[in-house]
Amino acid sequence: MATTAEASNTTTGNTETATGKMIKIQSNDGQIFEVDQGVVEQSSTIKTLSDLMDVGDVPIPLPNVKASILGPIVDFCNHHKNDQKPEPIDEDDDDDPNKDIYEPKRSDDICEWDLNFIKQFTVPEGTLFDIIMAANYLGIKTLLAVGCKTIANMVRGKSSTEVREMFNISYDPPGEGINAPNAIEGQAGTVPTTQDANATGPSPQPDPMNQ
Amino acid sequence: MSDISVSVQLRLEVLPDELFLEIFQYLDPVDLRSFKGLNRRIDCVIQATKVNVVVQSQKQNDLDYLLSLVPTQIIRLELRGSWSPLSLSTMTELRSLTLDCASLSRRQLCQIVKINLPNLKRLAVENIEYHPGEHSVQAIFNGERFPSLKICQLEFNDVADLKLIHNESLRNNVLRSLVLNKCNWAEFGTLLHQLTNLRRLETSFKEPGLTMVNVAQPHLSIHHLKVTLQDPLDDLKKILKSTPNLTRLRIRGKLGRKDVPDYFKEMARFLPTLTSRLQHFDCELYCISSSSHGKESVIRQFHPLFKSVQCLFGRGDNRCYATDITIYPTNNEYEESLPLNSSFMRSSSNHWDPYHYYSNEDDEDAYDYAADEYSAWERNEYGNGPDMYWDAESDEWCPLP
Repeated sequence: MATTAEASNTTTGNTETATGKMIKIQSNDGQIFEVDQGVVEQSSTIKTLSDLMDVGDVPIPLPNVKASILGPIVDFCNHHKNDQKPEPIDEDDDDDPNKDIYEPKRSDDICEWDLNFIKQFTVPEGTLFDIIMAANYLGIKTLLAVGCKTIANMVRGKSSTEVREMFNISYDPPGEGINAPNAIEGQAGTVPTTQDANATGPSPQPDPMNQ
Repeated sequence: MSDISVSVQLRLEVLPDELFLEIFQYLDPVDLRSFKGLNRRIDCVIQATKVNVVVQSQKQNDLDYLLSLVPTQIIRLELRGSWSPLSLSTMTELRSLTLDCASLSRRQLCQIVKINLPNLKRLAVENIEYHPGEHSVQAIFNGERFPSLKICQLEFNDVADLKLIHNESLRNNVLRSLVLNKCNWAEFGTLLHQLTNLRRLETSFKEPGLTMVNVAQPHLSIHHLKVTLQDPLDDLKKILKSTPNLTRLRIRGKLGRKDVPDYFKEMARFLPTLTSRLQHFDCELYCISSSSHGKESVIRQFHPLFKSVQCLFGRGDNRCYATDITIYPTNNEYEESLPLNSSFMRSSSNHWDPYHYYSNEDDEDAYDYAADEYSAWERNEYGNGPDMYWDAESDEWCPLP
């Protein structure tokens, strides 16, 4: 049975508050969160669903996100709902010689609140990947960027071996991938991707994306 | 999409390829290398990743990792140092290219005008120098080699200048934005004639425009102009006649000892006539004035576009009337040095003889002495002087606390 978490500061019995229409969203394990328009605006998925469906008091189901992830996401969006909106793109921006849109993206500009927020999600527990996947599914660009930048910052300066250990990255099955017999030619000098039978480490596993 | 509520694998690999790409865009190519060779799937994602490469003064060995990249992965290249294996012709996916000619070999320089980069949208070339018979700029503007080029920044070195082949039509170019660190009046008309799609132009004229700009027809596409002029009044009129559809204008230059309100009054008279669509105006105009108060309140009344003009105080009598900067830029080329005889300056500032100024080159000791002795005339911590600062909240001058 669904339980209701009061995610907004001014949750009332009906779905209208001083901040506008309230929307209910439901995690895949049945927990319901009530969020205001400031939160809805940050998630393209929730916004689209609420626009398309005349949901009324019926919660919008979010089958790909569990409550333990959705709760912090609502907190994140509540914290950022009053952030200054990016300036509307000027017609001139495309031509601005002082802006190079192809410049590399920075990962060292995560604000302190976001740094503390993302610390609750870890690699060993897998929750850091959960929050990235959920941000992607919900279309919350700012949160997705924080997650991806966090991973990038963890990798910086690390060797291949360290990266493999840090993220428990699998080897290609023996005889497949880069070390497959028909693929060895021209790959001299690359790190072996087939696990040594005597080595310790993660076993080859099927690609979850292909399941 | 798999159910993300169950983190059974606890691995980075639960992420779909598009999220790998999202993460990789925050990594330098040298860090991206750490993912290479881990497994086949990640290698495929790396090969699909677009990378930025910056070559500065690294040792050649430190650049070896670049050889592991597929040339078509590179979408942005900043070349400020030598890179022997450089072959621009293989980087067909380049979108943004920055080259410092001073750091490239002659052979590499020649590549620029011979290669075809169909996707290049932005090109910046620094320290350009000419050799007899060269017209490399023309080759850049020619749309055949860079058919997608929209933004171009060219910085000539001290001895080189823009040279164009007159009467040549560049019909294929789609250039929309051009920055030239210097331009001359002789080429300006040709430039406008050849770059018909230009919407934005930033340049600086080092000489006053003694002759009329040779433009058969006004350039109707340019709507954004940033220009530095030796004569910000007459030269500005000449340029505005060639660019009647401006919506944004920024003017930089030197007014010397001219009456500044008179200058703005005259500009308020001809701006609506010559550029009726102008919506944004910025300025950075340097002058010499012994008055301890700016005249911005008078200037602002001349035209609504002047409402942001404010006076910035430099050292001594140096002033700058500007809209989009808040601190007087020291060591600018228009700045006059402090006088040696500072008692004269203090007691007779209203009758200052400009010929008693000392240049830094002529007498540095004298300059230092004056600067030390009369620190009251130095810029204060807010960038203004003497002993006053502009309080934005109360919109008035206030004494230093």
